[in-house]
Amino acid sequence: MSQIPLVLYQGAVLGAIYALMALGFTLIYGSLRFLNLSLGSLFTLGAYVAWVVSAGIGLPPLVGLVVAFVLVGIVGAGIHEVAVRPLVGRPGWEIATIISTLAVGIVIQQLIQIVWGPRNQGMPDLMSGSARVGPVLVVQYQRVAVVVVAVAVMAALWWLLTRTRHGLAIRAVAQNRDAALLGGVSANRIFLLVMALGSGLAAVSGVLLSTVMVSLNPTVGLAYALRGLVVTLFGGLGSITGTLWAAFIIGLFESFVAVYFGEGWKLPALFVFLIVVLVVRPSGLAGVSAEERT
Amino acid sequence: MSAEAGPVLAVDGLRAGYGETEVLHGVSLRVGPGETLVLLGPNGHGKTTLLRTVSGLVRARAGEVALAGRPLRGLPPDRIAALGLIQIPQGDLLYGEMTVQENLLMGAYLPTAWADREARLERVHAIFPRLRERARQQARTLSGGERRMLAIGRGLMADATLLMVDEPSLGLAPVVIDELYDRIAEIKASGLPILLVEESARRVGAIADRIALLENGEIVREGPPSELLNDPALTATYLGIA
Repeated sequence: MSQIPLVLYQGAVLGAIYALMALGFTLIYGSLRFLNLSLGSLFTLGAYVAWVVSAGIGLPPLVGLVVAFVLVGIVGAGIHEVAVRPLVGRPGWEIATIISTLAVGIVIQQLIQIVWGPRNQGMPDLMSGSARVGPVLVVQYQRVAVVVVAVAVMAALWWLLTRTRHGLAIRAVAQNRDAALLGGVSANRIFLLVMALGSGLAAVSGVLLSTVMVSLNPTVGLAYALRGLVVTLFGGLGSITGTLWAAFIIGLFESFVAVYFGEGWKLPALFVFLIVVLVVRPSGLAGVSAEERT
Repeated sequence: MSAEAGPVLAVDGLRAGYGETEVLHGVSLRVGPGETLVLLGPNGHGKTTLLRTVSGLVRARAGEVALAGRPLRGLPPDRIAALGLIQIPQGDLLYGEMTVQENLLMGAYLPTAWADREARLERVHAIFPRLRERARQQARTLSGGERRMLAIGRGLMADATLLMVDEPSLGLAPVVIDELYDRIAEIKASGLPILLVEESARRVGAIADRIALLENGEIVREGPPSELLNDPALTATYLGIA
């Protein structure tokens, strides 16, 4: 029982990072109805961009975070034009785009390795220092800053999606494309925007995770893309609130497993968890069935 | 309609369909400034296909559509909507997981309408006070009549040159239909040209300036309501009374 504050603390940090990653998947799935598997590499790319800006150029890590969001967002829009848009609507495009974005992701990962090398790099902290809270828990300010930044990004996203015309249009296109078209919304422009936004969120997630991880290397994205997918499926594909719940539940679950059973059990436990979820409630937390969704 | 002003909507020889099947076999019609044209026809004879082709959701195979003299054929639906051709679609096509307010705001998506959205919300709320009461509710929780009001209200948020309404009475209780037609009459009184589609002639007499009959993908008759609604052969078919 004494470990519970530790579980909650680590779970909140992981949940916040997973939420950003999974929101990228779920926004893109909600609009375009396909899984963008390049997000894993964009997660890594975001982390490297921020690392170059902060460790290389010497600017504050928060500047690196913004630069990563913008640059990777542009890369995501480019991926849409090159690897997604030409396929959309053709027979079998849902599978074709999964493969094409996975391929782009592999290319990006290799480019990262060619440019910055395969070795581990250290990401500068957002903040330093820590405070002891109670008998077992040492709270690092760094991790608190990660949660604060993640929550701020989610709040900004919420504002965008509920208060601005383009944000409303993102949700409108996801819910009823014909109605949105009749309302004057260019679905193609919204798809481009959503791909940029989802990619930017993956990048921010990567930056935040790399500041709490021990090191940064070109392959980190894969494991977190898998977690992002698990969260997205558990949340109910395309549902934003379901995704947020799922992210924090899975963050807590992982941290529980890590604290009580050891780090090595995290991924196996996560996939057992996913299998159970898919058997018991295949539509995920938000509970939209496949028929309703299409 | 005066000859100098020209029609707001001109459809000429329009052909369209789905896959191998052609549904519209060369439809022509005109809607003049301030005019309400009611298109009657049995189910499955191409009324909805006509509206969806005019608004660009279905691709035309032949023929021309022009809004205030500007050709529309080949333009995507979002461009056509931006030119002011606003369709209130069959089945309402609401954004179910968005609030009533957000649905209305999406009607004002285009920049000029968006800049004026607060005033337009007021105007739509004045026409449909129920939508103000339900503003924070999700659209999927509305009753059938409220859904239809929301669909029409969303259309009214846009800068419409012409309003196309697809079967406003579909699936509603008679008392709700009466109220809805009162509201449509108000919209007509504001001077907005309307192309309205219905299956039954029962309620359209009061608002129609002209009526056209669409059967098997062709306009078979056209004329003022006084003429068509007093024709016993037609009232048998379109009023469902023998």
